[in-house]
Amino acid sequence: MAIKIHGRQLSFYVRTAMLAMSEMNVESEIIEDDMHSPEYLAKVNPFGKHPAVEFDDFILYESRAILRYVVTNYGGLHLLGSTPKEKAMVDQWFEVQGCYFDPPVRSIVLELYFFPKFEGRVPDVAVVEENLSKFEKLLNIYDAQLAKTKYLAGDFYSMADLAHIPMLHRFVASSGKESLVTSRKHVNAWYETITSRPAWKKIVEQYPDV
Amino acid sequence: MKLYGVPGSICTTRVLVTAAEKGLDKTQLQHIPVDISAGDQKKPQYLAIQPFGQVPALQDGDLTLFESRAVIRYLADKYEGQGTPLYGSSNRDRALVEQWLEVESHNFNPHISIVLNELVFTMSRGEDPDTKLVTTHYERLDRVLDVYEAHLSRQKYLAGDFFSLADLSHLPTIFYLIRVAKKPNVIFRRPHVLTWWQLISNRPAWKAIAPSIMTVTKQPKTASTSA
Repeated sequence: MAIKIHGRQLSFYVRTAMLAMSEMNVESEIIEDDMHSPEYLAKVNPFGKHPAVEFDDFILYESRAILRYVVTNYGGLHLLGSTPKEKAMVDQWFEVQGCYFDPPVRSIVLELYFFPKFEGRVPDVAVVEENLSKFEKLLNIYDAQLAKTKYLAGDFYSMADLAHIPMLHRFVASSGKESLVTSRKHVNAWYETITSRPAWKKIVEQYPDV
Repeated sequence: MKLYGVPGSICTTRVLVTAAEKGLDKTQLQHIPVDISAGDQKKPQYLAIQPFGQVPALQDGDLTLFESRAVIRYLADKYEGQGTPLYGSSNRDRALVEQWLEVESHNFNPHISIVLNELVFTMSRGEDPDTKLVTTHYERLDRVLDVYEAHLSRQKYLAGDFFSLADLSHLPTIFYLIRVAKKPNVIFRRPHVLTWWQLISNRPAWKAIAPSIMTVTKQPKTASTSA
């Protein structure tokens, strides 16, 4: 039976949950419900956010916790690292993704893609510039790391790389600022590698970029 | 193991209280202070350890690890067999601990850290706090704590009826809010959140670590101690 993911497929965080399932070859289905409804708040996620996922005997929310749980319990332990040191590196870069990558890149993509396309809003130039500057500094650190290792936590694909895919793909496909990624040799090679994974391609084929 | 940290700072304290819950002593975890008033965290020797120039960072043999929430997970796993269990006792327990660690990091922390930055760290530099920012984020923190209040009316701790890394992760920021910023209301006026706070902050490990915050925050400052 398909695992239910509450949310909309366009959301980065819902796509993170979808990608986790796809990587583990687990069938999932999207339930597009209202995250603010009293029923959702009472029964699914009291924080009123997507995604939330229904597992056998409980519901889990927070996309990163969902990703971690799916990887741990559906055959993806190798994505967590195999030694204590590898696991630590995966956790570290997973935190970097959550704390340093997500805020500025989300802001850029909202301003340059989502707001104009879906809300008819004009981008806030100051916000975009400030976050592009932060993202560029971050990408320099990533490029230095990826010059040493094929993936972020080492020479193995991990949950830390996976967590970047939905938002980074959208940045490159739709922001108009993809040169920040494509101009950096090691970041670009890594980007191409991780977004070529069949598990991600399956999602993009099902829900093509618009 | 070596922990490069700022005594009394939120993220360093998060790691130290985890070490204390695991019963680690100073020979197992050596705390090396980083002088951020001298800008040591931005100097090349430190950037070689932590390229983002942030504190804390842990060295364990040939492993260098940063991000306090990655470090506490590492310690919780490395010392799984000793001290306080921090992940519950089943896969499901662990999933819920991870969920609430993410809630702390992405729903709770963004708001409380802005409030603390303005009311404690900005003021400690002799600058005026941005009161509009404080109001906005205090209100958001308030709404998040409504969810915590309902949740903690049904169970003793965040992930279940057991203390975990998820509860622990909240200790430094809530302590700062109540004792240093002196804005305890969001906690004190919610009976279940308050009971939970009293439970977790009366644990021996926290009581051993907390005084270091008061020592540091009472000293006259030349620069911010934020990390």
